[in-house]
Amino acid sequence: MGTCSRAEIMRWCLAIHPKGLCCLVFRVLPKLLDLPRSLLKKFQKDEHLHEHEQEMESGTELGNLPELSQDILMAIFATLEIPDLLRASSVCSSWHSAYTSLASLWQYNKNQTPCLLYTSESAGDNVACLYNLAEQRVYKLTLPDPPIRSRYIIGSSNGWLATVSEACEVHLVNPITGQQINLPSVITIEQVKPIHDNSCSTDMYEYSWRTGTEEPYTPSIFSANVLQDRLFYKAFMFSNTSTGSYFVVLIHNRFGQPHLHGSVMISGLGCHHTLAIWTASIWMHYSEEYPPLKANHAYFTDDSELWLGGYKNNRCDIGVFNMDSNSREELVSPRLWSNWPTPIWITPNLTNM
Amino acid sequence: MAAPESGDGNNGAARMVTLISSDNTRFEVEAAAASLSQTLQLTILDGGGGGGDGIPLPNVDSATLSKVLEYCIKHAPAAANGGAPNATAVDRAELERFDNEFVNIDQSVLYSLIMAAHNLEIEGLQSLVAKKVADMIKGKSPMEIRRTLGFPDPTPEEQAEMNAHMLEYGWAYE
Repeated sequence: MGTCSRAEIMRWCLAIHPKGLCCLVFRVLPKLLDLPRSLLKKFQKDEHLHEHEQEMESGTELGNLPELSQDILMAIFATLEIPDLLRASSVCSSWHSAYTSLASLWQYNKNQTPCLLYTSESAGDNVACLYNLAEQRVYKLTLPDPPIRSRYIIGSSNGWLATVSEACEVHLVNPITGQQINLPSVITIEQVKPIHDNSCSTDMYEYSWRTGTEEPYTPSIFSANVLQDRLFYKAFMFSNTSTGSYFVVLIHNRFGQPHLHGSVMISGLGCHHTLAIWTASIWMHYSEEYPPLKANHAYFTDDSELWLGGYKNNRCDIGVFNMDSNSREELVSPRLWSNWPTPIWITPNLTNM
Repeated sequence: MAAPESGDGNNGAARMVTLISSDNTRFEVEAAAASLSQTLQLTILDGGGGGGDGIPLPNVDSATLSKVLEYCIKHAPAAANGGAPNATAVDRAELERFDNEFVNIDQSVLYSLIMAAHNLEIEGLQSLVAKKVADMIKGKSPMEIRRTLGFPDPTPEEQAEMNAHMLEYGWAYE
């Protein structure tokens, strides 16, 4: 606690060097007089501590780390990828409080390099693997139930995954923090009605193929896990930074609609390319923003439900497309991921809802 | 009230200002370079620091101030061009090379620079030193970070606190 309060106070006293602290006390005293008496006392105590520390450290050859203020620590931490930030947060209590302040700021995730989130049989059913492009290494995160390997991953926005479980529940889960949020039940969707049948042990649903204007087929009866496969297509999450609220947009009833193709504008180094992509999730790289990624390359994953839906062992296409040479490169070799649930790009985020 | 010379070098000699370090060394430097400091900018705009006056910087020793000014002098021309949108790739590469070499320094000097950059509010230098420290942290465990940055060994209480924090996000430490 002492370290933390000292660091905060350093902000007021504008000390350049621990040695200069003593004389600075007098310079900043008028400023401190506006502050509560308790804080002034704290300052005196910490000042004393500081001298003591200096004595203790005066033999080391390394430069002694001055107590960096919370502002400075936050500026340093803001440049780190989340795994580095988390490790830095455990260094001491002052660093931990700088981390806590930073994590509470909504804007934090802007500098994060996207990671590939995937699962693998060997890692376990509840484990999401995060392949960090910046460090080129894998982190294994244990997620809450239901097991991630039994879910469909239908979207990734702002560091949150949208998933559909075998019971056809839709969840938002932040793999970094482990926070999970249940979205409203599937029966709140107009086309889905529960069927109450005591003779049947699993939940059954009547699913209407009705679109806005027509009903092309007669309703179907699906069990929850069939509905899991059929109902949802994509989820997107949007946030309103001014109010701190979130919106989730679900696209469903895909067989009743004209098929969707993605179209993405990719920019890099002054030239523009438009790619028509087949229901793939793609991550575009603007060269200046994310140094760990290669400029003028598209990082893509494949979630074409026509290819992968119902065929969980079909190989999904994941890699890096070089737009200069018009060629495809492997992201990592050998492949680390299971084909299902389909791997997806995610930009890690420490925000809890 | 007459506005002071802008000191942009277009009308003869560039305007100079004097900065005085905590150990009373006087540094004469172009106003444009010193103005990279947000803290000094207003004083300089008000005509301060000229003649025999000088601006005292009681928080910055002469070794640190000379290093800070080396940065400011190198970056002032680009800053004068509004962040140098027209700079050539060669200019940018040269500044980058300078920056990389500039922070290739002893840790004690680096720490003094961090504090000075922050107190003088020199934006570019602040990010440069922050990035340097960040690079020293990357890929390291909390204990390795402590050793790298010259922290004393943790007390048993500090160690217990570190362990508790590490449990929170265990995956990041594997």
